Amino acid sequence: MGVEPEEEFNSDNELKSLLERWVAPGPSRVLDKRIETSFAREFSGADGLSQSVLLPHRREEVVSMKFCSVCKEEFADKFAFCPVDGTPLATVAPPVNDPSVTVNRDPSVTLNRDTVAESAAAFNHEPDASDPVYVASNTSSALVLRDEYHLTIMDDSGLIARLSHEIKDVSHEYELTWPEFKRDPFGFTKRAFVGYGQKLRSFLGKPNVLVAMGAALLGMVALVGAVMLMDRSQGATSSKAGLIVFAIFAGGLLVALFSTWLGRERGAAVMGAEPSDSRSVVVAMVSSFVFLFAILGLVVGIDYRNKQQQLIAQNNEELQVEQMLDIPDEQPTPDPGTAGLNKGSGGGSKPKQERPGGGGGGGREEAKPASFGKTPQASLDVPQIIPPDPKPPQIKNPALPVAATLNADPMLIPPDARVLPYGDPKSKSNDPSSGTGTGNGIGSGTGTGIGSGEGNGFGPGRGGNVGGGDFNAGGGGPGGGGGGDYSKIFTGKDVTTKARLISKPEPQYTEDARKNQITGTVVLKVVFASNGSVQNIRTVSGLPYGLTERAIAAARQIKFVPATKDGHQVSMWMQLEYNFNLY
Amino acid sequence: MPERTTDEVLLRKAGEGDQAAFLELYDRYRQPIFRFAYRLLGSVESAEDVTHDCFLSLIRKPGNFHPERASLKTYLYAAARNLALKQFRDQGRETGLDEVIEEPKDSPRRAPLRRLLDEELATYVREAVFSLPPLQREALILFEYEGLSLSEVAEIAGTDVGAVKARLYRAREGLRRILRPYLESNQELNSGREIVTLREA
Repeated sequence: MGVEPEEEFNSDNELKSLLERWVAPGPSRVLDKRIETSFAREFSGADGLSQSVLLPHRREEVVSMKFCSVCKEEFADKFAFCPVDGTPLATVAPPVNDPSVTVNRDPSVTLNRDTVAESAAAFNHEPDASDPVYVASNTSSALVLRDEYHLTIMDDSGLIARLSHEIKDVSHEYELTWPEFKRDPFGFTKRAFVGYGQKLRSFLGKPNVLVAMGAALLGMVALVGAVMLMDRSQGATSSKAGLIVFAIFAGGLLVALFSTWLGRERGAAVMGAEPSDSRSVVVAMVSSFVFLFAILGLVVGIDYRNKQQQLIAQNNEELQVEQMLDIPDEQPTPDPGTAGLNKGSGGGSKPKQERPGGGGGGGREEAKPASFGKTPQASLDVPQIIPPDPKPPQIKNPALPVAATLNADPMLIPPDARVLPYGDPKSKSNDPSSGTGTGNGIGSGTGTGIGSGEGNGFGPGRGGNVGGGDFNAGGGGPGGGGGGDYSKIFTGKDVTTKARLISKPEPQYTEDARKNQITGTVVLKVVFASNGSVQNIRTVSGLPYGLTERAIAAARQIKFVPATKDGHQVSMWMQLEYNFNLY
Repeated sequence: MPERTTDEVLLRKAGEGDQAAFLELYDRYRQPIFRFAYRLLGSVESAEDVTHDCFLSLIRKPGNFHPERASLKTYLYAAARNLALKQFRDQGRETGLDEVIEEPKDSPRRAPLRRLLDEELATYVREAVFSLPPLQREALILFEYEGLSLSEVAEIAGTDVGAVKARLYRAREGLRRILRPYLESNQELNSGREIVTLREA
């Protein structure tokens, strides 16, 4: 960019002076004020942001460890069993032996510890030493303190959240016990049985548990009995109503029980029981309910199945012959895909459905198998003159070039536009070769075709065409699916090709409109009919003084190529906009 | 040269929250940037938006400006250009054309007829400039109206001098074609204008 071109560019003074006629205004005071305010806000805003970012908000981190009572070693929290001797691990309390530390920690950790401690206690046959804090210390004083220590959960998360927590913890526990199980499956199972048995026994041994279970069972049985009685004494509709009432009642009871169980106040009294017993009572009732529901579900399910079978049997008995009907022979159903295309086993150019047959093969007795390539143009009408050859023609510029062809239905072998040498499309070899066959074709067969068959077609089979077996032209058969009703009016997105305008005459202004300075747009909704005419003209928005009429007249004179759908000319909705401007 | 260093000093101070420095900087470039945005977009509101965002970007994204690569002036032009192009894309097409009603009012001392003719001519010139494609238009505005050098225009448009020349050439061709009637009678108009300017002086 020397000086010269710029001077040359600057030389156009005539145009430049003309351009200078367009004077731009200056920025207003409003803009100045706006920018000033934005600047001020930018900085005050940035300050606020940095403050909020810098606010320290760190959670207290407590590393929890586990302690093996046998080898006296501490392990990370992820271990459930001692990696040295396989003893179930108990959580060790942080150095500060303050219960508040335990209480303030993440609920999942606390619960986790609780579960681990309990299972550890069960396996150690020391049910009384199950307190999380004191198992680790392994001192006898812990046994004394056991009943005084109540775990209080101080988190405020909802019922569902805590339930999912518990479930996650349980699954985590099982994940951790899996290696132990793999190491010694029989011993593990035995220990587990003994442990759970002991737990169950100690649970049942708690006061009021048996009474609670009995009461729950009794209540349930009474309910079921009442419903059954209703069922016997009255009709089916009332029994249905009874069942619904029962289900609602039982469901409500279950929800109430579960919510008490998982509720915030675990020590809360249930139905007047002593708070210390409530938990075991609730557990007992819930377990009996679950048990009962399982049995009930099973009974109802079996009953339902029996009834269904009876019904079917009954229906079969009630059938009787009223009239003999001839069921016509099964119609040939067209293969999937558009008729006439090489999908499925049918297809071909013939109008009637018929399975095509035939094939071809060839080769030039070369050592290598036929190479990959495309098939030449297929035709049944024009006899084959030149067989396909994967190698380029020997005569570079023949005076009369003749393309290689195959004798097959072009519907079944569509023209292949790829730039490829001829060959076997199914081959994986890329070395140009005509294959091991004979007869100047390609492949392992004989003849001038491609493939393993005989003749000038493609694939296995004989005598040209494709499809295997002897030559048969094949046909598309009935239908062809697709469009159906082509007489309705389509929208632009439903047609294959949209209507194409050939000429669109411009409407003329009316004198009145010009006098009255009317400008604007006339919007028309019209149908570009399949016969080439403009029909169903509707005004979406119009203009006065005859402009709408002019627009309609102009629309009628539009020449267009109708839209098509699947090769049929169809009618199509169009929106036309005519702008009327006065200059 | 000394002005450029001052630009940078001002920018640094503005980045630290010095409002006076920022306003000084703004005052230096508000006229050309606004004019440029106005001519690109054709509407005072859009031009104000672009000018606002352009200057604020100095504070919001200070890392975008590299003093070693370009002068602040070039940077501001480029930023305004990008913002204007974004507005183009957002709004679809030059909807601003219809909004250009608020033309700068010339001094009322001029003869009414002359003023009318001038305004008409200004409108035609404006419409002619607007009929150019955006890239040609911006090259024309930067070169003809803002008086920047070819290399500066190239830098702002993010292309090379050759492309700018080509755009300018095509823009002028287009303008000449559109404004031919005015160019032919330009001699007369020019002389008329001379009289007016003389009288104004």
